[in-house]
Amino acid sequence: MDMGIAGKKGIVCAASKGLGRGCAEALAAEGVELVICARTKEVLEATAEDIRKASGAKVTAIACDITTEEGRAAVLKACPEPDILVNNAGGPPPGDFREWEREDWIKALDGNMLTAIFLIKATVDSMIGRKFGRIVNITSSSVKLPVPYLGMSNGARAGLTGFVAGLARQTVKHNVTLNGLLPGRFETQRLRDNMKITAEKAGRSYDDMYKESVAAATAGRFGTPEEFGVACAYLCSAHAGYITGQNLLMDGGAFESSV
Amino acid sequence: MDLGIKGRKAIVCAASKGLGKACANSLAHEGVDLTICSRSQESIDAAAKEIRDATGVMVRTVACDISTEEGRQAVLAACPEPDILVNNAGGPPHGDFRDWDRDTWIKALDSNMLSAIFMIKATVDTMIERRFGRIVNITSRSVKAPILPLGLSNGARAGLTGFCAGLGHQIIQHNVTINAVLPGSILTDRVRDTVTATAAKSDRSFEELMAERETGIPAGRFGRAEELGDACAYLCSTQAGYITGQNILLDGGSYGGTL
Repeated sequence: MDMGIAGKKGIVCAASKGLGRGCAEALAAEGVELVICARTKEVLEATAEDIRKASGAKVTAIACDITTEEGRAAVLKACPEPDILVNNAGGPPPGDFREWEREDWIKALDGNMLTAIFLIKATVDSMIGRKFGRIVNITSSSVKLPVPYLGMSNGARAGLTGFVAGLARQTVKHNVTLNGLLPGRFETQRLRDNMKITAEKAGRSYDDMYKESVAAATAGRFGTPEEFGVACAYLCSAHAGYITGQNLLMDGGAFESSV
Repeated sequence: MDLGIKGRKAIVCAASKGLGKACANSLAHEGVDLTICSRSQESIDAAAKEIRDATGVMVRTVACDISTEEGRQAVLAACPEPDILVNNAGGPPHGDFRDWDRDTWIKALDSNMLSAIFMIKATVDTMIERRFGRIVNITSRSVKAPILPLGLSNGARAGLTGFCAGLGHQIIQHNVTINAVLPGSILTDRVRDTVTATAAKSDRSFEELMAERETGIPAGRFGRAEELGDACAYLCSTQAGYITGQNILLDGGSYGGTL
């Protein structure tokens, strides 16, 4: 299917690896001209080069911390009027909420709620002006099913979702949509790193734990960044203009709800 | 029905009028001793007197802004180990998100998300120790269906809801629950004032405007603050210990979703 977005301009945040990269790759494959960002310059530029080679799309890499005002300004300078915006950022740390001070919360809210809101604020009106806009927020399955030890993520991402729910209904008449893409467990570096830590703490081998987790997964496997990217590209497609304010769970059936 | 909470201690925030006061009243009728707060000493004392006269329970008052650290300390000094905590706070202003800077967001998050989280943080562990705790957050129907001009509220209250969903799972085994009551169109002074102001600006009467609003509610009427107070008291009852993480909408059937 031709997604009908060749020649559109897109910003994909935190795109040097994992799910962000998956989204960038899928959009580039559809001929979207990209600005991608991440904190580590070397990794980001290597990813940009890989994507250029694979797709022939124009890819601009901006090394920055998107959770800061300066970071956002740098990305917006490179692409002031995107047609597509994919918000993404690493999650806040796990822990016990008894140990979190206000500063910890504000940092989580800045990173996983306000950063996306300010990028939307900076871009949504020009999307409205051009009568085309696709905004996808990569949140987490925790928006539907909280992860007990990730309380700050549960809170911040749900906060973003609540705000976006309202805005989505105000912009859809201009063909500007906002949706959330909620990953469950995906085959990423982050998952592997976290599992290594868990394995070490439990005094068990990483390989055993990995096999066990895969066996316990409802789908019998973890998701791949590639399939995640395709879902994102679909929500950004010309065909998805009647879908807005939705939160698409991609978790291999892990969350057991009837609707 | 005896709710089984006579002699329990409760904190009810923002309780000088409206929904907070209604919650305080319903708990007092069940014999719960109260610590109530609001920003104005005069109005909180007046509410306390009314509640004492009607029910005979002990009512402590604290004049403070619960959205500040000092305000919370003052309330917790008056009642360090509550069995029941009712979080409530006035909502953030309406407006257009294009006009909101980071400070505006942080203020909304402080009063409608973090304030409740810090009150919970300060009280949940002693509830766990005593194997009884009931936490009720008064949020808004906007948690289920966003209210378009209230983006700050949509975001902050959804954020609180997301966090509490996770914490709820972790503490239910100790007979400590966290639930929320989501008011829709409840007839409070705030609603009366809004309609009075609208009537003054137009050539229509207060009664006419109220009737029109009521027609739009499936129940054909506004909810009463007392009804919300009773819902809160029920969720605080000993009998409600198997209900947690739930969001109960009191909106006369306005929300159209199936779930």
